[in-house]
Amino acid sequence: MSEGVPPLKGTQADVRADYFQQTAGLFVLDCKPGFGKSTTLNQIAAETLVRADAAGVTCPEQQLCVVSFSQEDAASIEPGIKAALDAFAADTTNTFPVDISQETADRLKRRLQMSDRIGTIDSLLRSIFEDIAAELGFDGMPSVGDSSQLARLQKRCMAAVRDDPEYAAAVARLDTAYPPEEPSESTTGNDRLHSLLEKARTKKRDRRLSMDDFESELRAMVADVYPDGPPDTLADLLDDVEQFYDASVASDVAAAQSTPGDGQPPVVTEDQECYHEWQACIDAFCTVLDAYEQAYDAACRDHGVVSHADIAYWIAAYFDGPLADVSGIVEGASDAYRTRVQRRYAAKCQSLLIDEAQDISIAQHDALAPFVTTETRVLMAGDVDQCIYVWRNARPERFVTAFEDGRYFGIEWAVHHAYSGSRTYRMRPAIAAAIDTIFGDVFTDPARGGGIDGLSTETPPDSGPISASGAAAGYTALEPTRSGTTEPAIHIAGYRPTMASPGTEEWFTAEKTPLGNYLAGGLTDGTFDIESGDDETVTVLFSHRSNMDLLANQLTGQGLSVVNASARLFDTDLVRFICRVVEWLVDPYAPERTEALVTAECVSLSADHLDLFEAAQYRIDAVAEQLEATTGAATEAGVLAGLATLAQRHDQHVSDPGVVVVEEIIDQLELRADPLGQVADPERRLAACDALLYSIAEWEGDDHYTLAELAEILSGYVAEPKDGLMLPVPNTDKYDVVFRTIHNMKGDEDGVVCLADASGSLNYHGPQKETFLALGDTLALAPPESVSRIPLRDPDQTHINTEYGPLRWASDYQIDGRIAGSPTLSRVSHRYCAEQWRLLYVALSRARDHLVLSLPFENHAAPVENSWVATLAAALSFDEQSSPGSYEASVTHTPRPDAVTVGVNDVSFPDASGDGDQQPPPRCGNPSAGAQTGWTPRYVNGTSLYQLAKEPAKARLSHLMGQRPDIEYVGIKSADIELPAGVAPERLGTLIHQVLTTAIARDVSTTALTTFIEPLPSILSESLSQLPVHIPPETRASIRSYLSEHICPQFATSEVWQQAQQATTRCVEEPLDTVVAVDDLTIETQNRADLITVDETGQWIIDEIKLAHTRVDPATKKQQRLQTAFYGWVLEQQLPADRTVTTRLTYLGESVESVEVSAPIVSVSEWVATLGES
Amino acid sequence: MSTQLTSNPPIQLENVYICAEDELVERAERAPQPTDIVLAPEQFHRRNFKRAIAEANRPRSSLALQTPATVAQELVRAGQGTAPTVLDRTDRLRLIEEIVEEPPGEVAHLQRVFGASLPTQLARIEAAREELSLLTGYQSARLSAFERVCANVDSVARLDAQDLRTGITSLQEHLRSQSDAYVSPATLLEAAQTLVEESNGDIWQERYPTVERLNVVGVSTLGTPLLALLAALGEETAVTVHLYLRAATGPRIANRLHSRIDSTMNSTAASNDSPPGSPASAATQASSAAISRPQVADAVTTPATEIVAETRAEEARAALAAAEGLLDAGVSVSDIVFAARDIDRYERPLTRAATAYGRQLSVWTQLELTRTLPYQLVAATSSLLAARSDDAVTAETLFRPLECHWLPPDTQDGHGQPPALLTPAELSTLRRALGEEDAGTLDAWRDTLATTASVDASVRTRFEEYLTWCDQQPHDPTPADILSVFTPIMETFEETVLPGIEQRDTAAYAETSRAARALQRIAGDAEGEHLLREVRAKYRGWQNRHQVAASWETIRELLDTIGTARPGRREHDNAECIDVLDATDTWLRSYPFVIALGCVDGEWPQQPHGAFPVAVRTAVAQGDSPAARSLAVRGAWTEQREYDHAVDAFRTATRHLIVTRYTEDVEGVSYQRSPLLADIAPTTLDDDAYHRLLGPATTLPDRIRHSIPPSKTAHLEEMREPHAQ
Repeated sequence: MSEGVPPLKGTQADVRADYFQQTAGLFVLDCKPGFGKSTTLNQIAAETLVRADAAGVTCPEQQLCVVSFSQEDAASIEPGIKAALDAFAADTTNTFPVDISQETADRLKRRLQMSDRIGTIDSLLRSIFEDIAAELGFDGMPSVGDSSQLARLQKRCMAAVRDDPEYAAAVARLDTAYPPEEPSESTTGNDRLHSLLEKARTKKRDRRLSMDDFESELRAMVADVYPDGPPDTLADLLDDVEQFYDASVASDVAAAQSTPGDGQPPVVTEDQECYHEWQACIDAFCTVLDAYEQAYDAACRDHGVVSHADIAYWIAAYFDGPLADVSGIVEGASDAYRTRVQRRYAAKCQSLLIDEAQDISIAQHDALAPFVTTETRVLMAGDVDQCIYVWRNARPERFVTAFEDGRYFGIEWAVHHAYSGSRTYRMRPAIAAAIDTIFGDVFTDPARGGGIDGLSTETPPDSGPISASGAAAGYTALEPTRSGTTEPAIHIAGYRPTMASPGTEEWFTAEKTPLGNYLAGGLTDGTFDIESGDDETVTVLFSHRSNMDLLANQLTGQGLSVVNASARLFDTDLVRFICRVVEWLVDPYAPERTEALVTAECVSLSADHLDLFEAAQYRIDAVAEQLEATTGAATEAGVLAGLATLAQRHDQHVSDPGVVVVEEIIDQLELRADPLGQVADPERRLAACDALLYSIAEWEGDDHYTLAELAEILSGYVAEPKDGLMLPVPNTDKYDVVFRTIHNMKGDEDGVVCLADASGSLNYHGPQKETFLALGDTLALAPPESVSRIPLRDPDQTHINTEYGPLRWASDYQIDGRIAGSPTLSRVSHRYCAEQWRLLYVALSRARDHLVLSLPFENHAAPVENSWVATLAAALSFDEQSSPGSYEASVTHTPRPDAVTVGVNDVSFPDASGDGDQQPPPRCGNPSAGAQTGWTPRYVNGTSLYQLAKEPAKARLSHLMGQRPDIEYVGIKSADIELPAGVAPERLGTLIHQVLTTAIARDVSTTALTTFIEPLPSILSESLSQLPVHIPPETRASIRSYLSEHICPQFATSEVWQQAQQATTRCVEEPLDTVVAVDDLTIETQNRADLITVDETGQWIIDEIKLAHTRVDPATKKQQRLQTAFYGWVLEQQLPADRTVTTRLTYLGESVESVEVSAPIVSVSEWVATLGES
Repeated sequence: MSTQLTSNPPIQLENVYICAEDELVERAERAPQPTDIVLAPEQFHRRNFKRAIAEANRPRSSLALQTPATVAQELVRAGQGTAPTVLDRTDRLRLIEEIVEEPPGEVAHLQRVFGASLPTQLARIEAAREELSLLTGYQSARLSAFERVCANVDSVARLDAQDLRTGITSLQEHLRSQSDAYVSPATLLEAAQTLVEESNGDIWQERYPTVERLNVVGVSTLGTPLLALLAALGEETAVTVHLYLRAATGPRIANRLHSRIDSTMNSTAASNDSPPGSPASAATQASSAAISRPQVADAVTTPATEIVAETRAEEARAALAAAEGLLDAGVSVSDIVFAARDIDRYERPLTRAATAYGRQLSVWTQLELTRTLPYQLVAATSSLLAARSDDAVTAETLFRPLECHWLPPDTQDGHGQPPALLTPAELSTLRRALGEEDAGTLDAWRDTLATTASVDASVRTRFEEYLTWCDQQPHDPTPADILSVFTPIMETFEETVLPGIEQRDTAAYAETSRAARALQRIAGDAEGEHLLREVRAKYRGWQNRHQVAASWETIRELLDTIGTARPGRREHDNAECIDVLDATDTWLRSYPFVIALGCVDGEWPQQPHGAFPVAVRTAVAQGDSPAARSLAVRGAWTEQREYDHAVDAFRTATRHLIVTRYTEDVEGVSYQRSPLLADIAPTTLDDDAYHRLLGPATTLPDRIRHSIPPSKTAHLEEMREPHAQ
């Protein structure tokens, strides 16, 4: 059990030792990739439980909270803690500092299941929010993070704001300043203002800014960009250009101006106009944002839905300051309750362990802070160098403050320990040395964002607690623990680029073939052998998705099996098609909708079929008549036939939940068998369908989407596939090559890692492209586009596309190691760059045994500051002279080797064909089997047997309705007797049976029965009270007369009554149940016989009593005979084999008639056997 | 409570059995009057018990199967002369809501636990009310004991628990004083107990003169109100009380039985580790250590195979493949069952997988009534009538009943497709012709129709007929209107639409069955659990008691409330379907092949839960103090109940147990193996065998194939063997 749980060593052990020496304090661990951060946290968490348990705490898990960010990371915490507990228990050599029995380990593992505080930070906050949602005006706990519902809600809020005349002017100004995209063929257009407002709302909340503070931030940016206000003269303007760029750019600008006679050049007026319009836009933006935000909050409360970010925001707001200031707080909300909730969670966070702590946002920090007191023991582990989520509100500088100054959660910690962990248990020394060489320069280079957000200390490895200092940013080398190999661990697949721009598809076209060859060669010739001896899979990392398909095609062509693990579910044709079908099903008989469906891009029907639709004027019912194929064939024609069937089932779709409708689409169209050739891999196809259905079921919950709602939700995801799930990869191990984005790979590792398509310019997507900019502590709205932004062109026109950037906004232009622009914008661009370099760091540090880099032999002089490949080539001394084989690259910033061996195109390029897929394809990926289930009744009783066996088709429906034929009473009119009025015959039948059988059961005398004296009136009265309907007095009287004058005297003369008087055993209303086998099926029967008796000879007799006031027709008679005989047959099953049963049918009513009966025509067994033919 | 433990305690430990219900089946005999009452709170347990007797071909008139509430009701009826009424959950919630709107007296303590807006917390308040009832029966001695337990837990949990206790106790008093009916079945049990005690048992003798034994079966929780009634019966009457308990909760219940009956008698507490199949008394000498892990292994008497799939959907396909392999090899569908801790989570994935294999399942969950066509028709019609009264008839509201097959009452039978007033194509054309502008009133829609020339004359006539029908319905419906308006619609549906659904259905008639069951649930003709009648009763009651408005809107809300709260019967009347059961429903069942799904930690066992703080729940469950041992433990509070379910499911198998699990969800989050499997050591299917099983040939692993009996009906024969006469 303890396998895979290494004991803590070095800094890991130091952290643990210090942690348990204190009862409270702040412990901050900054550590390198492969340090064993999670191992450390898990063992400390496990030991925390053990110690509390040993101290007699009944619920040790209730004092421990361990959180991380991603769901995957969080899901591994609990198993990690359990594995540590097992390792402690299994340890016989004192390897671990904890000694517990397996029984204790087992008990603590089960206690851990009682905790809700091991998981994601979002899940922790969600449980806290549950306690305060109602205080904040929510009607109970809202649903959290349902992005489809939120997107619809946000749209409605925006529409409401747009419709409100109060905001019309502001909205118009903003629409002019930031014009919306025009609808194109592929998009319906985008409400750009809405996107800006929504982004602003979330960013404002993540930073916990009031509207005033938010506005100040936006205005501060204007002041930063116009340090002296709008320019009065060209000279003013040129001063700014010189300050933001340099003198030469300023003189270029000056030279380009033509000054009219006596006035200012137009550029000055334009720049003034920009200033004023920008300020006006900020006014308008804040006004509209305020309205939008209020509408959003109201809608969230109305609809009971919030995002994860909202939760953090609301918790922080609720616990911060006077309750009365919290927006939306309910009347009667009290400080006492707030204190109670605070105490609840403070108790639960006594030991708080946070993984990936560099990723915490301000709102999350502030939401957790109320529950952290000076009595809390907090352990934060993270790595600033791996922070790649600043764009998503991570605030690594807060982690730095905690590390360096011991300030976090609003507390100046008296006990503060900080640790730097440099050991890496993951990568081979050569990879570590290469990373040191590359990032020793990068992380200390201001031009590449070095120093921003980084720790400011340079410390020796594993030095234990350190004190903060103000030293300049440095780089701490990795300290690998694994041994090296003689074979290269660093590989370069070199390629000769074309004249295209780096990062473009054209450029990658030149890269993909050598890279494909290299990977194919490395996989087949043993170059990529890994230490664990497993079949190696190469993980290829990309920073973006654009060129993944190109490389996939290349590799597939070389016989490798490739899977893209970062593909998005709603980006696949199969899923898009399903979404289109749902949209169509809203009104499948509308020809224009049918046309839109069959001509959609994701379908690509054959010309013949398209002609068929056109000829039928896109009327699905007309098309259906023309189709030869039937539903169920996994062909294009089968799909069309399936569509026609789906249209006909519109009624069912109205009542079915969304998930069932989509299931039906998949089944009817046989999409799991890929009739339209959309996803070749059957397992992936199944997984795509699974994932889509899972998503819909999750969103829908217990609700019931209408088709229109479902269609709207799905189209939202098709428009924004990133909001949906990834397309799952089943059975990753079976592939040779797996593609992933670097972000997706964070927290993971692999034996062989390759970085591909890394040639693009880092600033290509930088802040200069943003309209609403939010990065780190900067928030800004770009200057309006309706006024000139004064682009500063390179006057030499050496590179015709080169711009320095717009004067008053962010740029990607580097001057003297800094990015041009106003101080704040320059810093934002640097922060953006810094994150790009950290992304590279994350990519390279995923590799355990082999790191493959795809690099150009020459790079058209791309600057190292702006290009990953240039930096990598320079650091590894790779250039156009490098020839296939291997070379020694000198290394720096690393204490150990002087050089590492780098393999360059050092594989034999085979005519590769991969292993091939040995596993049989899943049957569920084929067309479904024909229906194998028919209908055989599961429950049969004596009254239903006849009809079910004789006329199953006719009897089926009423049988399914639970209606059993009523054969206790025949005839509703009598020639001689006045029948009771006002009661249904079947009720009368039940009642009479009840009275007569009770009379037998109570041993009533024959005289009493004949004369209807007590106890018979009481029995009648009791029986009447047991009827499920009220019987009025006059009806009661007529029933009484009927019984006393006719039925009871008749019964007294019957053989049944005589038999009952003489029987040695007598049971009335006797249950007769059994389970019978029909063919190979079991059928259940439950019956009640009126009377079972045993006479003095030991003969068993069943009596069945019927009321008849008209002649009993032959069919009913057969039915009643079979019923009685069936009871006898069931009774025989219960008796010893030598016993037989006499079955007798007695009619009362017009006259008394008793006959011994047997089953009509054939035996009971044969009647029963007939059921199998239903 | 008045019961004093004498030398003969009211419930004797030798009458407590763990996993030994077979003994009770053996008591089933033919008798003129029942000699035993079998108390099973759950309907499915009563069903299974009957089934076990039927499979054994035994008579059963000696046993009367009842719920504790029914017996209490009978006793109260006998004592008071009239049938008692008990608030149902909907009424109770409504009353609680009224009380907590402005919480009186100590009810206000609940605001310290739940915050200011108590009406938003009704479900949690009711859960706490019910838990406290189970624990203490609101008896002062037990409430004090609970108080003592709370006093010993950590600060904030203590405060929460104490405030809950105070607030809920006070709420219960208010409920009692504000309602003429019994607050809950538990208060009915309490009333029955009082009657038994006050009459020195005569009331029992009068009502159940022939009954000698009272047998409680199928419980994971023995709540205080039930225990008090049983103890009173044991004390005051000649009846003996026998408890047939379950594998894991059983020993615990036995363990504290006497301390609960009389907290001064802890020393006689039974032990907690009786092996399945033996009376608990056999182990009374054993130590009283808390149960760490029940011996699940004892429940498994067959070979066991574990199948590990990647995702839940894949697991469902693997489970179906295993079933298909068995069926291919000649095993009967009646001999296979799928079981899961919570089959709701597996219903869709299993159904999809079954479709791929051409199989139909019989999933024993309650019919989701609100997701059926007949329900949607009633709901859509009432929405339309409500919208008509508010002059807010949108196109969606107007056309929806027609999409659900609204038909005028005298429509003739249809054939093939279910008939419609307007065909889907006509409806589509009409709707587009009239436009999506919301006309508001029916008259406005009529005007729009009149001015829309493109509408076909026949369509126009039929649509006008529909509008006229709408116009003719009352605006302020009386309770009687509920039946008079909806019954004809449902009758037409039954006579006309349902045959059409049957016509187009597959050979398994699943869709027909679903619609038929829904119709029966909505508009069956007997009193009781039929939606329209229940709505009528509640509408009438609420109008009298709570002054709700007479409107179709109110009726629509009631339809939803009742339709969701009590969804409908579970029977699936098709013997050719493979059964899918919640694990708890496998109690006492027997199938040769059991495929138990979801053996994943956190899913089975599920995380324990409850309304009181974990620390308090743990203190009560661990029973470290006499006070704690005098209280009941709610089943959901500990994992023991999960083990009960597992043992029930595992011991259902007579030939082979297949356990399955998944390792990750579609988002890539990983899941761990269930600790339930730790004891039973199943053989894991290797990768190759796994892929062959799921492959095109559905190759059944030899290991499982070897368990197949030679005869198809061996199952039934096997079951009867021990009982054959």
